[in-house]
Amino acid sequence: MFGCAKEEAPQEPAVGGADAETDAPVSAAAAPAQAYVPEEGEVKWGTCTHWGCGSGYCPMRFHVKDNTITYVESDNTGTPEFGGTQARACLRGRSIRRWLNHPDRLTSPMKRVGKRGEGKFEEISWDEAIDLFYSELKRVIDTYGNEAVYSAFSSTVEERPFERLCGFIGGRLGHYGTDSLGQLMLSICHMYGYTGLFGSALSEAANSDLVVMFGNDPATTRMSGGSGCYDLARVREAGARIVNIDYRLNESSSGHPEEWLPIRSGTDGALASAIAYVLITEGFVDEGFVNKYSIGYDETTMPEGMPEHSSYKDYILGTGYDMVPKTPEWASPITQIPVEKITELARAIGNAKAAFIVQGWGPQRHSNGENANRAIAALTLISGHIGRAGTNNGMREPYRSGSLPSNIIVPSVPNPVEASISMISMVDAIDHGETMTAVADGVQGKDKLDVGIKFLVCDATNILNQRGDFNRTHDVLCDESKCEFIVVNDLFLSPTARYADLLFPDITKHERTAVSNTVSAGDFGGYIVNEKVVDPSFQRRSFYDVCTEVADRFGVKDQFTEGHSLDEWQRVIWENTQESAPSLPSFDEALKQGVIREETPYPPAFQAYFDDPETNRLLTPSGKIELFSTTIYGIANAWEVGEKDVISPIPVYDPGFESYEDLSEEYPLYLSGWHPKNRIHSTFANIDVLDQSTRHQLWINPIDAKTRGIQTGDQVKVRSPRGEVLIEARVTPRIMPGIVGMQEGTWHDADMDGDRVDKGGNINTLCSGRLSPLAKHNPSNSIIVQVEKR
Amino acid sequence: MTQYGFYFDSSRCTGCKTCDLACKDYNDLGSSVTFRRVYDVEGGTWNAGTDGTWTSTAMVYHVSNACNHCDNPVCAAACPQDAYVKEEATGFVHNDPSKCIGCGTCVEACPYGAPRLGDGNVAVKCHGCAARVEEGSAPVCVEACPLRCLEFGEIGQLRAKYGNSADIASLPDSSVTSPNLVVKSNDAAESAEAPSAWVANELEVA
Repeated sequence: MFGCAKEEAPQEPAVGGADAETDAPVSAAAAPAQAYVPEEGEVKWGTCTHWGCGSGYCPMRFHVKDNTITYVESDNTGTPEFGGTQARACLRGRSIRRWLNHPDRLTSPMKRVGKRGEGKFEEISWDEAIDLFYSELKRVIDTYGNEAVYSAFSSTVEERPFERLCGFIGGRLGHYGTDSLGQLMLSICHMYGYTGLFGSALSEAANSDLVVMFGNDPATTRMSGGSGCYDLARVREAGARIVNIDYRLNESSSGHPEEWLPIRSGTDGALASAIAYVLITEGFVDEGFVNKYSIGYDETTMPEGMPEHSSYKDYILGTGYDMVPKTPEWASPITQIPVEKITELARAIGNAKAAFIVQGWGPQRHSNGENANRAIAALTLISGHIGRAGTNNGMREPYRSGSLPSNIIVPSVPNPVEASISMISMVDAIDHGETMTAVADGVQGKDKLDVGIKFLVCDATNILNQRGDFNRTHDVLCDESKCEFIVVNDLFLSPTARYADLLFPDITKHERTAVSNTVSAGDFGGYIVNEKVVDPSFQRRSFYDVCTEVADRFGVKDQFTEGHSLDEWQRVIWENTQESAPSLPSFDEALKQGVIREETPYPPAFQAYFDDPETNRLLTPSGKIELFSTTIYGIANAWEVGEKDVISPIPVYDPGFESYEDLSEEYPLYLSGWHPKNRIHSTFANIDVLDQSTRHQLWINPIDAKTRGIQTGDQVKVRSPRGEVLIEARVTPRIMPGIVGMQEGTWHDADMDGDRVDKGGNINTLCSGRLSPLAKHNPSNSIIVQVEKR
Repeated sequence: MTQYGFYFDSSRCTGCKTCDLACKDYNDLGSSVTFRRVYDVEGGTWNAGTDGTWTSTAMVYHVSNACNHCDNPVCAAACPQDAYVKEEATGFVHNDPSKCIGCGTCVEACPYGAPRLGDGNVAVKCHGCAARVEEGSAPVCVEACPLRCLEFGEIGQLRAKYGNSADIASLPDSSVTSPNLVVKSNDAAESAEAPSAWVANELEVA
């Protein structure tokens, strides 16, 4: 399209000439033909893809001509100047039409014709597809019971129509946790209670004089203009000192290299413990304050019946547990941070008026993450930087959103099956579910599962691509005696969709009426309410419609739909929400407005608790912060764990399995991953302009590259105990020696009957499928590898 | 005559490339042509301590740059086809694809790399979103930036507000073309490592 001339002919230059050495011809005419202008049509509000990116749900303005999106703009409500808030979409939102208009989108229902995983399908009629879905689901339920039915996690849609359907036909195996922060979620709840999962808004740090970030990179993980990257810029320009602790110089400190404190990946708990040692031994800790608000700091507040010398202070000072004082000299060889830098940081925290201590979700995504995240969080309490202006509880910023319920498309219904698994153990439950137990595998709701997963539904999720140890996943799924039927609903033939037995072509939120919370990880929330931006094309249908027809076959259509189409549910949900939020406009008025903003003040984390701990008890057994958790103490004594698994009632540093201590001649480098900037996990992996803008590269330090003869742009092989990938190298001093890193989320691409070398460079080909000891979640950042030039 | 220009704050930029992709969306560009380029400038070294620790002088900053609609547009001077004009009302430097023969002289002449050979072997470049500007909007890249690193306006006003510097490492010396650009520097670009820093993402900058 580029280069198409506009209607008017170019004008002759008014003055000047071609021989001018310093002055170009000057034209009095308007922009000549070169200035391409996209076709203008109607401007319609809609949303970006999903808030699974982490930033929020950016409102988008779609320019639509003849049922085609010609270009997009984003939020123009709020204040455009620096300091005000607008949820400006990032590069992904700005590329959304290439995703919606993509020529590779699925167009009709299909069934598998080749081997499972081979990716060969043939188109079938809707009637045949629905019949097959129904008959296989009925057969599996009749043969194995409802515990054999499972719906995989999705971070890209809110609505779960299949899960609602299951509520009317006997249920499904449930799940708990999340890929994003599962270890944090299932360990910090024992220290803080569930209300402590999120912290202060990052903008609260503008009231701080010292911001200490452990593995937190809002410039990569919170990219919207209404989110953390923008808030951090405002905080910096308000004058706070920022310390950015990471194994790589991430983009949150671009232009400000003095902020970076390099640390060996996976050792944040050691640094935190050494900081605690300095704070305690140099008199920075108000022990009366700490003991008022917590249990387990020292012997005076230990729960009854616990062993002697098992307090947090005993661990830090070396009077308990391993009897090793956690001095900076102890932490330095672990973290590879010089002693004086550890001491300086600890004293800076001790001397700060209001230190804002925050951790991202990278430190918890290690094999020792359940302990590391609490070790970081503990610093906020013992330093006294908690519960007041300018401080935090060590967690990330909360999501601000409107008041719509989370399952906002169709309401969820109770699941009659009580058993649930960690969502990360899905492949285990396909492989050997019938042997999984509560004490070994984290099964909840019953002591052990009766049966493995036999019927798998992947609705809007590239789940197989996003689970550790892809080669093992492939082998498990290709054994059709294990999972007997796989239904996938997606936009594309993703690596997950390749394993489908039955494949449905989905529509997006842009192809129907949609109400959405304008979730933001920043200072405001609200709603986006829109009619369809474009009409659905080809035979694409919503999965709600698919499930409605399956419900009809089961005889539960009326219960399932309550008489509402998917579009009609939007109005119902909105009007139900109005009952608890009466200030909301009518649905029709909301449709006219498109975007409705809500800005409400957000107090510092735990301010209510620290103001009045008796009235505002935390949701822990003691009602206080539990530096020593009796619940975890009980779990540690009851559960079966593997070698190097540490379940600890207090925050400790342990290396975890597959740590840097496990590096060897065969695997001498340590690999960690991070959120892609140009994808929402694996969504948008097939958008060429995004792939070019932020190339999929392995970061490697010049010292490690030199010994391997690797230069930027070279194709390199990365090999772990699980598999091998090909990827382009980026030789950069922005990553520590001994550590390599890459973005997650590229699509697996290998000849699975041949060498299995993943040309897509998917980090999950390299990651372990082993789960963390307490939360049974994903230690995706703990990988030993070798790298060599191809 | 009005002369428009851009302001870029490199102390705030995180290199996210939203400006680039918003431009690509609006102008329907593919992955081989970029009007607004975002450079990653990297530098620094590592030193091993005797105790197994590491210290580093590593640094990074980013530079977002498009056509600077220069006072001395060397693209125009180089073009054998007189395809370039500098528009009096805006100061925008435009080219006329109907005159272009795809010789690439302008591509080589511009030290900022602003013109590129696009589809049909025709030189293309940032046109300042002239149609948007005429309607009172800012160029699409400016309104896109999540961190408000970019501003657009009459260059005299931008210089009065932000100073006169148009120089930062990764960009050519501003004396060559007199760009209508104001750049705010950053700590990394002012550090001891800056003189030996390099553009680390040449492969990404089409």
